[in-house]
Amino acid sequence: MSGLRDSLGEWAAARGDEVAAATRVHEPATRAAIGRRRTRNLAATAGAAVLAVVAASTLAVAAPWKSAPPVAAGPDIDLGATGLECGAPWTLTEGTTTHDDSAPAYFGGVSGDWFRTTDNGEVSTNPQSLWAGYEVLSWKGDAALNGTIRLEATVVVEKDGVIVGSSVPDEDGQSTFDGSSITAYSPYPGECGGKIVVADSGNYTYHVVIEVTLLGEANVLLQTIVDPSGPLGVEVTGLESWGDPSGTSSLAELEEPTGEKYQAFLIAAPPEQSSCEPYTDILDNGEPSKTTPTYSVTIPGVQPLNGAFWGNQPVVIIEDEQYDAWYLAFKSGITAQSVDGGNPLGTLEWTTGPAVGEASHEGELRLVNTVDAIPPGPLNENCAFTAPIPTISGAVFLIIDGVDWETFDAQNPAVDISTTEGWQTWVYLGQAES
Amino acid sequence: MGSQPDIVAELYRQSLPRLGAYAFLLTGSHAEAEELVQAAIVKVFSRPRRLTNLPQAEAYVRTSIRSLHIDGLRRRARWVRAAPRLAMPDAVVGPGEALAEADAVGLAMASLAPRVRAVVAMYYWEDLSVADIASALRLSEGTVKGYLRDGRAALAPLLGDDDEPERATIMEVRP
Repeated sequence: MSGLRDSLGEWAAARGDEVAAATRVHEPATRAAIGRRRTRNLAATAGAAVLAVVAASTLAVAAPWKSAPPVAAGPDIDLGATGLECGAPWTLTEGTTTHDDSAPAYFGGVSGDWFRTTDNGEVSTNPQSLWAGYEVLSWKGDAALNGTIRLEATVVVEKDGVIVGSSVPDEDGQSTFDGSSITAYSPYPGECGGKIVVADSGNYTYHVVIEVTLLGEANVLLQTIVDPSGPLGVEVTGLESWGDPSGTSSLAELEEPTGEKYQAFLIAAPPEQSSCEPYTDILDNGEPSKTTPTYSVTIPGVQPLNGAFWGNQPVVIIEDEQYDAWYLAFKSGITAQSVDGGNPLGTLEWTTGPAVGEASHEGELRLVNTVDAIPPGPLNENCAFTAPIPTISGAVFLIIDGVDWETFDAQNPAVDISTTEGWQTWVYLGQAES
Repeated sequence: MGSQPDIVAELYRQSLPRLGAYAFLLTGSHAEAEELVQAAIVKVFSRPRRLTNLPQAEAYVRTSIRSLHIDGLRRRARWVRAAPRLAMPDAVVGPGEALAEADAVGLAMASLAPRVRAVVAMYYWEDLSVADIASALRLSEGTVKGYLRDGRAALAPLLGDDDEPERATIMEVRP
């Protein structure tokens, strides 16, 4: 091994620990930012595939377990937090339930508070309000231990005696325990084990349930503790836009193609850009929106939608190689709502010639990635992507660096576009199939 | 395991030091490294992805750290070209940075040009080949080798010589 490599690695590892420690401090804010962006990205994904509105009938209602004054109970009680799923009644009362007489020898109790962290890192204790998507709530506590003890905490949201938000059945209940301190991240109302249910803004009550386990061969459950710092009443705002992709969101409603007719949007071309993902940025910025002008584009021969478009699978195959349409004259590309592992933009060209990797081809007009294909707009050439053929999901858009103004004007007589320069047509091809 | 929140938690528990080290090597700054790691985590996990295990997630974040940093270098280069009279030194070193650089290696790393530092980090920490680095940075392989030479010259007196043979890209597939 190289001396320089090893020494540099050791030196960097020490700095990495320092950076990690500083980064962990902002974990709640980072999670808030993830939540906010995920919400935007999820909402932008057309259809209901990602955001599932969970009907009440589908919510698991497990037999709730109850908290009671200290009692001796067998160590094999499997609480498992199964009573803390959305839809279950909230029946627990504040206090400690002892499940094993040995508890006092190992565990001296836990104390803590509720914390709200805004997306700019401001932290406050026991807040009375919470802005969904921009602020996160967590319960943090310290425990007095004497032995190898594990604490697991689950935070649930309750309204009118029913659990309406819970991280269950996510593993670990989104709590972290470092041996003395425990942090449990809180779901928003309507957030149910990774699924999002539309919930109204309003007043909710947060509870935390902590399980104390003595680790060993038997993993003895010592105690369960409900609301050691009391429940928290919070006014939660912003839930409609956080949980509802079509509520206050301005995103366009995508229409599935009818035969060869496709819904198309008039989108401003990306400017001279600095991002590696200028077309993804357009999607992230909320386009196409409900106010984005639309018109229809006729394209025959669109192929099944998958990431092979980034390789040499044609997006469109037209048997009549003399086929003529306005879009043949424009540069083209393709993007999807989510492009994993590769360049978010696939570059395409209308051609009767060969695609990338082909020696020759004739007899068909195809829209395909060719050696000479030019992207439909500016690209940052200094970007690196890991895979030539990515996995795609969500809505797939064909980007045409031009507009059929005749058709557009005919279908949008009231829309006044001051200049015909700088516009693109984004054709919604449908949902990715792999 | 498998759901995204679990992987985020695991990433925070287990991967942050490695990711932080890489970001620090790239940027030479605690503050910038921290921002870079956070930005990469947000970028990776704010999109629906089929991340099923920690190594996969860490690889995504590591790649994102690199992409974001390269993007930042590019932006900065454009800005410096566009506004030469306003061009500033690479970074304003604050008290925290001064402490971080209070060792010889830190000082040597801080003395490297951003691109040289990036090349050193990608080669020695991410184990990328010269060809891969050249592709990522859109530089010639000769330029990358030159940067590596500069980096070694600055670091070898402090960390020892690099006597390993240059790694070659076994297979490169590009779109």
